[in-house]
Parts: sequence; C-alpha cells; structure tokens
Amino acid sequence: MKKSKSGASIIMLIFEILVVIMVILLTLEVAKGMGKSETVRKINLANDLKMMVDTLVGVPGNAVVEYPQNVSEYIFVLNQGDAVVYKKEDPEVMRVSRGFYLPAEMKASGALNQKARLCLEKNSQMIILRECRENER
Amino acid sequence: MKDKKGQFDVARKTIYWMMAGVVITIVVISFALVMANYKSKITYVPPELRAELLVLRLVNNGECFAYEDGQRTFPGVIDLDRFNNETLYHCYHTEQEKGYHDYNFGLMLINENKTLRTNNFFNKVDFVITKPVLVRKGAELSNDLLRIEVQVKI
Repeated sequence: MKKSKSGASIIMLIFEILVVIMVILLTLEVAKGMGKSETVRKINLANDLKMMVDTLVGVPGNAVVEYPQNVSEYIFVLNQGDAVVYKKEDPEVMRVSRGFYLPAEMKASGALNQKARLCLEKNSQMIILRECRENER
Repeated sequence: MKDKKGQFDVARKTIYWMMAGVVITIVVISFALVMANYKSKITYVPPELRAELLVLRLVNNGECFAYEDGQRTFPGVIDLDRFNNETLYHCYHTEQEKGYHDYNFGLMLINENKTLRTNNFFNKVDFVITKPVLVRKGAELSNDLLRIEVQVKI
C-alpha cells in the first residue's frame, strides 16, 4: 500500500515535469514562428501586390512597375480576383491571398516562381504579373 | 499515518494541477492573442490609403468616368453622360452576398448634384475623400468636386 502511494507520487512528478516541458516548448515554438515572421512577410507582400493592382487600374494608359525588393523566396500567382503569395514548401493553409475587384473589361493573370524581380504590367485591358526584363530598371 | 499523508499529497496535487491547467490555458491563449494582435499591427495598412488607391480608377480610367475621345483618355475629366450606375457597376462592384465586408463608395458630383453608390454601400460613412475634377457636359467643361463617401466595412 505504502509503495503504491510512493509510485503515484513519482508518476505525478514525471507528469508535472512533462507538462512544464510541453508548455515551454509550445511557447518557444510560437515565439520562433513569429520571430521568423514569414507569415507577416507574406501578408505584406500580398497587401502590396493588391495595392499595386489597384493603382495600375487607376493609371490611364500602359505602365510597368517593379516591386522594390528581392522576392526570390516566394511564389506569386495573380488571378482575375486575387493575388496569392506562398513559399514552395507551404501547405495550402499557409498561403496568403488578397482579393481585389477589377473593372468588367479588365483581366489579370500571371505567376512568378522564385525569381528575384517582380514586375506588374498594365497593357491596355490586361494586368500581367511577370519577371522583370533585363532592360527594365 | 504515512498512508494518509500520501493520500493527502495525491489529492492536493490533483487540485493543484486542476488550477494550474486553467492558468496555463489562460496564459497560452493570452500569448496567442498578443501575438495575433502584434501581427495585425505590423501588417496594418491605413484604410485611407487603400481607399485613395481604389478611387483613382473613378477619375482616371476610361472604363469608369474618365472622358475618352476615342483616341485617348483624359484623367481627371468626368464624362457626365457616363456618370451613372451602370458605368459604376462596370467600374467597381463588390460581391453581391458578402461585399459589405469590402470597400464601398457613395459618390456625389457637388455642382451637378448627381449621386451614385456602389452595390453594397449602406450609408455607413467612415471617412470622405474629395477630388477636384473637370466635368464634361456635351462640349462644355466645368469645375466640380467629386465627394466620395467611403464605407470601409460593416
């Protein structure tokens, strides 16, 4: 009887230590995730892309604009109604998407797969996401 | 005697861990909320900026209200013949079902006293943008002000 009580105490102690370790690991993991700020970077990129599209829609005539940062770690997809940013290894839920509304006649499309320079081009009724050309500086 | 002490120890620890469980849960949830709040702070874009970029199209794009003579578009010149709901719908409209979560606008040409609104504008005015414009009425040009009431979301 005495031995079983002592065993229960030891099990309880091990359980306590495990819980404390789990809480510390969980907190560290969340803090590490925030410290890397990948999600924040993707959100900012998607927001910027959406605002670039809105600006290009408001520009009379044709225009090309280059995103002023190296974006070689990311994949970008521009659809008719949204801009999606993600990393190659990201699962579906980690992709960041921002929606926009285009005038009826306008179309948007394009993709950029881990290239350093991102350009958005407005050509008549089309907005195209593509890699910047050598002569576009 | 020792048995009773052992039993008391186990019971005491169980109560302790019940309380600790609640405290740990509250701490973890608070930490997650603080992090989420911090994330939304550093990705915040002022709604005035977003709205300003969105309304550029109204006065600059030929598919919206900007005057076109067949060869070129005149930014800042509003074609009064096309200042109507149909053109506005082609220029900017939000989803019929959940579009009230997005930016919507109420437009008014002050001197002409003409008013338009996007499909999910419900008179909840968060702020107003005013743009000086020229209005083309037939062959005449006149100065006017385009008052844009912005509904960020409901």
